[in-house]
Amino acid sequence: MQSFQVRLQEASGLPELLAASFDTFEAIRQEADSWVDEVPELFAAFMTTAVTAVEGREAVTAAPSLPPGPGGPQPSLLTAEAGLNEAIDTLADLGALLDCCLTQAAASATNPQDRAACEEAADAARQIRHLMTRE
Amino acid sequence: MDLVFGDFLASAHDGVTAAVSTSGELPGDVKAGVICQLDRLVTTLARYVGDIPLASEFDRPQARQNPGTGGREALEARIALRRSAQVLHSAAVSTMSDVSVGEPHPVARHLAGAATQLAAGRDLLHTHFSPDPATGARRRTSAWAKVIYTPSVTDALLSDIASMAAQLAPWMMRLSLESTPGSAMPATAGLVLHDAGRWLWIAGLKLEARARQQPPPANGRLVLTAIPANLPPAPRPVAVPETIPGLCASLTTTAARVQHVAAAFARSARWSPQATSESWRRSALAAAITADSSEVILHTLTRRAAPLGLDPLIQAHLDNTLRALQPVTTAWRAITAKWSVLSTGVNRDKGLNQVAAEMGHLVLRTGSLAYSNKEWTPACGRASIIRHPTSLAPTPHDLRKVLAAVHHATDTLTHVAATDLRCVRRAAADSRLYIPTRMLSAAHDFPYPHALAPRSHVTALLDSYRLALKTCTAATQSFDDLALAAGAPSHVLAAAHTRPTPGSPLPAVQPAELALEPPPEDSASSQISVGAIQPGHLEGAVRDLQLTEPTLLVRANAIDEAGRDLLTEAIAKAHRQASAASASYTPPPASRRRTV
Repeated sequence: MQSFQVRLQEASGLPELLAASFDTFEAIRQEADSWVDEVPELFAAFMTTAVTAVEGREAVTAAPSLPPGPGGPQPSLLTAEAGLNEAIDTLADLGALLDCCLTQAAASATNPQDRAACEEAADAARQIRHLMTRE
Repeated sequence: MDLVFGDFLASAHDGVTAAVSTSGELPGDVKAGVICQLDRLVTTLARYVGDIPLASEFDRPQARQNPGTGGREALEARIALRRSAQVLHSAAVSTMSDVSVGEPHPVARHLAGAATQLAAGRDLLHTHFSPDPATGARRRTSAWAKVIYTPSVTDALLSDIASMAAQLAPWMMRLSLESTPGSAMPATAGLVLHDAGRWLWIAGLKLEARARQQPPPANGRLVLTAIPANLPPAPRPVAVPETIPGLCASLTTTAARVQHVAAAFARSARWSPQATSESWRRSALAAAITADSSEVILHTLTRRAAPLGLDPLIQAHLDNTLRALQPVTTAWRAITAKWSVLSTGVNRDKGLNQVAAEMGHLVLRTGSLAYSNKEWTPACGRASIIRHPTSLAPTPHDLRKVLAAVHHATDTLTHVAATDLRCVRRAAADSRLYIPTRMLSAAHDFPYPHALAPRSHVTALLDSYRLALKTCTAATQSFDDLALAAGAPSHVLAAAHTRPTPGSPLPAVQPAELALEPPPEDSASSQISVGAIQPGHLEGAVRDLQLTEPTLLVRANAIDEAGRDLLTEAIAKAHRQASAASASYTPPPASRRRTV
């Protein structure tokens, strides 16, 4: 998880942040998907989180400043030993971080298409945080 | 409460019964009014029979050879009804001035009411069809459209028409013989009533003879009377806390709304800006969660069935249906997984289509029924324990209600699978499916955010939809059996899906068929058509290699076109040969035919 947090927090410009966001959304999707069958009561929560992460990733893809070409292989978000609570908290935290970074990026983006993409992706990140927040 | 065809039919029967039950002779000027109303009534009856596709000399030889269809009687009844209507209409036009103004006589009023109800009922049936702009042919616009003209339903309708004709004809004959001294009505009124009554009598006799040959099945009547207008039911606001019966009603209404918007969207999917991966992905997600919650509900009902003392047969059906539901969740989940890679590109500001939006409501309604949290949502914080069986179904009556609601929800998933398959197939044919370039391997150095989806991905997606349709259809059929066995309120839905009995002249409608208005390329045809051949294999293969060089694509396309032309020519030649062979073919004598 830390490598994703570091990439998001230390991104030096919009293209780098967008690339990091894309990879983080994809990591969230994979992690949420891996938990779908684990807890029956949270089937809907993890399924919806995975789909929302795809929507966030799609929103980022529409940004003109996203560097073109294939991305490299990414590490998985959590180790195989991670428990349910850790997974939920990690996804919620990453959602919150993505929301924060992308909202800031939207505010400073000069290209309207980049701004719209960041706003849309931030919205998806907010939903992920909401879906994964335990009361 | 939404009006159904049975409401209009019952009112029409009441009107006819009230009219023919009036005692005493009618004054001459009243007869003029009666003739006018009979004209409306019989004309409407004739139109009903005219709407029904009957076996005729233009039909397939198999249909003509089947003596059990009762087609000849129905055709003769149609002709007799038209003659009766013609006689009444000519008289009504010429005696219009004789109709007394002011308060109409009760008999005329009853007949007018019956005619109006019948006309409104026919309008209701017609809401399920629309004329094709190109050909003017009747086009189905709802899931009920296929049910309306199935043999069992038309048998029931013809039986009702026969019953009305049998009531009206003797009464008209009696009326024709009445003669009031000093009547203002000319003697021709009597002749008109006699002539029209005679034709109506013939129509009634023909239809009764047909009904004797093939008595209308009970299912047909059940379905006929339950046909609703093709209008979306009004949304039910969520009441908190919602009772179980309230949740069931709400779920049923939402399911009907989804089916309605899905049918409407399928007609516009080719050009709609909302035909996007975002909507299809959300629909698939909603379908997976709905199926999962339905499984939870059914599991709870299964636990409740024995303590409630339900018949072991019903308990066995519950187990079967639960087993049939499990693959539905898996199938929809697989579709969602496929959409996690595939996309229709940048779809900003297009929003979700109405199907996906309504599916979101379906998720909330099903979840609220499955779990004890009254404000259930998919979020972790709202997750809660499964409802206790006694809370979900305190009585057998409640169990049936819950069962019916989930039956409707599952049937809706079948509809969504069918319409989404059709729409996604169209998007695939139009090369509108992509994958993000960042998800490709480093070997694909492609300077755009999206690349055309490889054929294998598209095929896998379409296969997943086909599997979802298959599993949803199987689950719906399981629910049909359960609803019929348990006497659940959704037994009408089950009756509409009923499989044909051996010897039935036409096949009944299957849930998957109900859901899918077949696109032209899906038309059931035993003949090979050019449309069945997948075009552009070579061009597709070039695109799969992520090559967009125009000269390569044009060359590939030209080769594909040449291949298609060759196939078209070959198929046309094969058809000509087949036609020539069938024209010259003489079947061997029956005794020489081999039996298998």
